[in-house]
Amino acid sequence: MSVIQLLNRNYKQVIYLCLFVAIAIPLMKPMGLPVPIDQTTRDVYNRIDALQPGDVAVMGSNIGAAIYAEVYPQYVAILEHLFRKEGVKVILVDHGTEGPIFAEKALNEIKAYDRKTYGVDFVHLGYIAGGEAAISGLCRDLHELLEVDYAGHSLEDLPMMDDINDANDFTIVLDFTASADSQFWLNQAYAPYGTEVAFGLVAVKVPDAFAYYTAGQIFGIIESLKGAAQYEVLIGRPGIAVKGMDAQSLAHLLYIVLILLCNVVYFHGRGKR
Amino acid sequence: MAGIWRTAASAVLFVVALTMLVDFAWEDPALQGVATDLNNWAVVIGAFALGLGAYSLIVRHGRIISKKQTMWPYSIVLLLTMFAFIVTGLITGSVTSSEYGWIYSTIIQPLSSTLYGMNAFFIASASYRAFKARSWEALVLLVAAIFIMLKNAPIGYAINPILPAIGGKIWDVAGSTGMRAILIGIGIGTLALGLRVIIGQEKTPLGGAD
Amino acid sequence: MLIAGRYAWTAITLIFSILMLTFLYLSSKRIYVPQIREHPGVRAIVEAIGRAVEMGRPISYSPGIASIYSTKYAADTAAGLTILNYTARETAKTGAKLIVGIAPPTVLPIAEDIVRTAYLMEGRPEDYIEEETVQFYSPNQWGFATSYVGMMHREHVAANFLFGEHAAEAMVIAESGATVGAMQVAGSTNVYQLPFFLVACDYTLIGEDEFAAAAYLSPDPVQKGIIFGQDLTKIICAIMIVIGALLTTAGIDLLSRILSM
Repeated sequence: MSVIQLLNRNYKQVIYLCLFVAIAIPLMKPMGLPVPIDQTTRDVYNRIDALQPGDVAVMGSNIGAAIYAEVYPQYVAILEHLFRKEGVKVILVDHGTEGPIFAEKALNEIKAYDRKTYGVDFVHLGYIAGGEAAISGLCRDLHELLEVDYAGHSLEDLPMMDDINDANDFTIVLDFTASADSQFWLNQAYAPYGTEVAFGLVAVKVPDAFAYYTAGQIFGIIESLKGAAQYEVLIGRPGIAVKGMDAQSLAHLLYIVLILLCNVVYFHGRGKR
Repeated sequence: MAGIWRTAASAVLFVVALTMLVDFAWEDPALQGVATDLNNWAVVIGAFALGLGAYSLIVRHGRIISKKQTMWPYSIVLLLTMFAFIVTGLITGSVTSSEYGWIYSTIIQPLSSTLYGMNAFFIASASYRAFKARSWEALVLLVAAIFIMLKNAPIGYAINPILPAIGGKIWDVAGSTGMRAILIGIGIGTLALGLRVIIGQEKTPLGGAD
Repeated sequence: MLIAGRYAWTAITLIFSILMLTFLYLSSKRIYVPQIREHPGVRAIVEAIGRAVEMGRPISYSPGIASIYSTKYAADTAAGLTILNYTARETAKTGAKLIVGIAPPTVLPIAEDIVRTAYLMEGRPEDYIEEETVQFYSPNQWGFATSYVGMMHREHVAANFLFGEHAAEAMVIAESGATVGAMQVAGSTNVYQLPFFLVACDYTLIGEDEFAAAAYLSPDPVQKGIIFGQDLTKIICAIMIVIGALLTTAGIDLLSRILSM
């Protein structure tokens, strides 16, 4: 049986095996490919770097188990950068049911509770049900919507919340999600209050967000695992995302080879006929 | 009775929707207060909807088990798993407790990640099967796909910086342009649906699918 | 008083709303019911059903994973159910076996009613089998995806229809359908899944094509009216884009300033 016949008959098995190898080998033995920085990622980095003491950064999250691999590394990298900024207040809020799990995981990963004072430097508000209504309520009047944080502490006992009432008091909002709820922050924070918004997204959502980026409605995008890797490089903390880039590179190369191969097979078949 | 309920629900929907719309454009402290309250009620209703979802699952799968319908043993597995999560969460008091985290990271996370990760393999086989240059449009599609893939992975830059640059131009000029057009269509469609729901012409959200 | 910075938004929303409501009213009273051309996707549905009949294999249909009460995706699901009605009637006419996979529990009774009625209207009520023709899988997207894929493999379907709202499981289902050799027709307004449908399916209805097809197939004139109103608003947007692009190129930011008011 020729190679062409083998590929035509058992192509799925061969392809899946090749993909598995292409991803597994670089993860075990990294190639160390350089990670070029996109302007969308650099814009987020520059904006966070320009934050001043007293500024408020809101981290919205709808991270779940399915998108953990793509979006969670972005979340951790951004959180680390925010925690390096002296005097910047960070509010973590979740609009997905699994969000609090990954928010606390990220806070523990960067040792947030040891580095800064809870209630003074950062607050985790937890999951708020209601989708866009929840974000709208946060932006309209935070204290009207919520009385306690994720751990049940009264917001009145958290000093940093005294001066934060609505979206006018948010300096920037960063939303990490895979679904259309990144739109919620645009609708409820950017459109009515002019709050600066950026997204951390999975790859399929990036084309949609790019339209808002080029229009100037969002100040940056962290594009999937690639964006996470770029951000890890920018903050000098290479992690799982940078490791994953070699695997992604080989996988993409494999896809390109497959596309070219399928056309070779196709035109070979057409030529024969 | 169903007719009276639907009429009342439509009236409430109309008033609430109009209030929120006018509040966006009209500056009035009293109106803003009412709109904020309505918004917060929506959040509370959203929270109750979660519980309602769990209740309907229990009822649905309880019926499947009692009537021994197709694949009823899996309904038992579903309900047992659901109760395990609920009881663990209630006893430990938090979804970030180590016990809850353990069952989440051993059951949900691997399952969800695996199913989502399967997409990568399916895309590989779809790439081989479907990206044939059967026409000029298909040729443009596959050439654009190649350059975009080289843009999205460091290997493109490592081979030659011109490759991701071309991919970037395709992305900026063609991709975002097309996306913008689709977004406008989606926005108008959302407005149309909203109008139909507000005036009561679209009955499906009120349980009146005809 | 109007909030500063929202004058343009208010004006545009009012104009577009009045336009759409006008045609909704005109079509509801049958004063003017716009004609919608037959969508090529409709022909693809008939072709796929014919193929399934020739091969003697079943047809599978998914109206999406979103609830009928979802404020965001209700229209998508409603369109999926309208096309299900048409598909069920065509399937009943030909005597092919139809299997409808359902994710959200709220859609189940509606889908059962639609398919049962379709079979009745075509004079084949005995072909509708309770809990077999319309099968409930799971409201969870991955639970639904694995169940639907398992059904496609077990039944070896010859045609697969994916309408309504589909999310990340779209690729898994579509590629599995291609694996079993089914002819696939898909449609969704979820633009993030359209690339996967385009690659894996034989025919894809892009974005509002699905609504247009549903409006074409639906006996309700209001659907046609609202589609027409939407098309007019899109034409207005296109004109504004062209004028704005020309003005901005000429260094005049008049339109930008007006829209920012």
